[in-house]
Amino acid sequence: MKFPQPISYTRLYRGPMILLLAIIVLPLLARGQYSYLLPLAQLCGIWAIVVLGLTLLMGFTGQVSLGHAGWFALGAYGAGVASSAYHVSLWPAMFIGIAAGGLLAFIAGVSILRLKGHHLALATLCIGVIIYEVITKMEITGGAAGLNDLPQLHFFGDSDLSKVYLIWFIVLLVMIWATHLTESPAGRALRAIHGDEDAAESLGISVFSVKVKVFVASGILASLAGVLYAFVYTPSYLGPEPFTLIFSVLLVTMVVIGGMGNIWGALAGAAVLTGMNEVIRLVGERLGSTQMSKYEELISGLILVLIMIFSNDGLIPGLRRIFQRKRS
Amino acid sequence: MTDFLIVENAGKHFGGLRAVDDVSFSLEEGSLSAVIGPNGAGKTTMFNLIAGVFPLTSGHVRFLRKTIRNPNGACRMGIARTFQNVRLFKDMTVLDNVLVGMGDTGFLKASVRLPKFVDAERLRMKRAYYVLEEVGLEKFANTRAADIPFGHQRLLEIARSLALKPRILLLDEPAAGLNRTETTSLAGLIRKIRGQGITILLVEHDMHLVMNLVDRVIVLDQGKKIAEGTPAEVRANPRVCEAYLGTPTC
Repeated sequence: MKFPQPISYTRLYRGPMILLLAIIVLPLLARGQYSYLLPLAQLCGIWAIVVLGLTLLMGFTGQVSLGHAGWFALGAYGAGVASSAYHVSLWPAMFIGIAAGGLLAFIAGVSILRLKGHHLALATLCIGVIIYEVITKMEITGGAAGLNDLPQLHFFGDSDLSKVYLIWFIVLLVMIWATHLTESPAGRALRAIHGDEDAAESLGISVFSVKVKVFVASGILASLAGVLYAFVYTPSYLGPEPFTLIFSVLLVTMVVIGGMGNIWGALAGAAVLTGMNEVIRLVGERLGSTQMSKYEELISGLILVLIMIFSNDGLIPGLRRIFQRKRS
Repeated sequence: MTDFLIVENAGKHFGGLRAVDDVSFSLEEGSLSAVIGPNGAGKTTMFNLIAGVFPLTSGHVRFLRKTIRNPNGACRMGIARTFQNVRLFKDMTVLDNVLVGMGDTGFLKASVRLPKFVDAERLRMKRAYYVLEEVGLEKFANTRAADIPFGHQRLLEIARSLALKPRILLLDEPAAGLNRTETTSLAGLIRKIRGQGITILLVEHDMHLVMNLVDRVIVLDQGKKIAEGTPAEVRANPRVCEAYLGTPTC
């Protein structure tokens, strides 16, 4: 074959196929004394959806956002308020939450995406903080007390296992979409903008509008995750506590730890940051220590620092290098 | 006077600095011309005005009777450019660098990924490969752009512009940093591109390259046009020698 060819379908869908297999098998292993891991898997999936969007924005396009907790909250509260205060039924409420996130991402994106680097990061950080403040101060959102008795999205029953399947099925769809996008001229445009905006502009790419598009996409994904958080993960109660600036920082950490500009990296980042504390606790128990939980934060922080030192472009690119070295 | 590319009393001031000051010239379709001048003469600024990088302080630049508004618009009108300090997408492959300007960057089509879309992509890749062949870089197609030698990077930038199927190609110091052999083959490539009917305007320091290659020279000094003509005419112009060497004879 003389000419270069577009990526083949087998290679394109290898990642999603592996994920599908893992989604089917892994949750079945979490039985009996390990069933407490199922809620953790739900949370991990919800975070993975946000991180996939953020990876497109940060890893591929090079635009840092420190405000995605805000969009997550917007999705959760958009849907929550619609159903509790306006008695909108489940599906329309979900749509409202996602649409609210998309709309605000568009408005914010158009206003701030001409900023670059640190300035953009600061602007997104401010938006995230504003959303948090508005949510805690408003009456309709229940303020610091939050919202109670939200409806629950059922998916073949409401066991923890079925919730895991529902959430990860959505993760799979998002992953396929992200793979399609990154393996196309659009993905090429994202990486070109990351590399050199002026050069991209001179090649006919409308840098600003592409940035707005990817910002809106990541905002929509964050809100979608927020909706799932409100209606699937904790349907009984929604409070403002999780949506602070720290959560935005945590999301960025997931992107960076997993590996910027890498779809698997997004999933790995979400998995590492949800699973790490649990693993540390389990290891501690095996070693016969009941004191381990005290040092969880310390150890997990150290692990993150070590990952960055030994593979500063993230976990997945690092593992790939080790794998390739072994093969050759 | 043609109406292909017209620069009319163009001026660009940065604060008190008149980087380009009341410059007028025009290019005929299919011509090969150069803008020369000592350092700080305003060559690159002139260039950026044509490429739509920033608005003019005064005057007009018109391409096919239309005003150029921004780099994006310039590209759509058929004006392609290279940069003085090579600006490739370093982390992307050589082939991907060429493909960036070839369009179809919509999100929706990419999301659905219909077979038709993949066929179009296949065709684009084939075309990009042909463009690479034209500049002799096809065997580096899958190499990261940052990993090929500097001379090749310059060629890749030209290939990237050619993929846009431009009407006019602006080359900003294409020979800077190249050795004699590379410069000679570059001259061959520029002649070949011109042979395809693409109008070329280059900014160049390398007098040797300019004098043997182009049919028209525009000389700038301190933002003003001081001479214009064939290479021979310009070389005999005392004002040009003055600007370059400080003496009226060279």
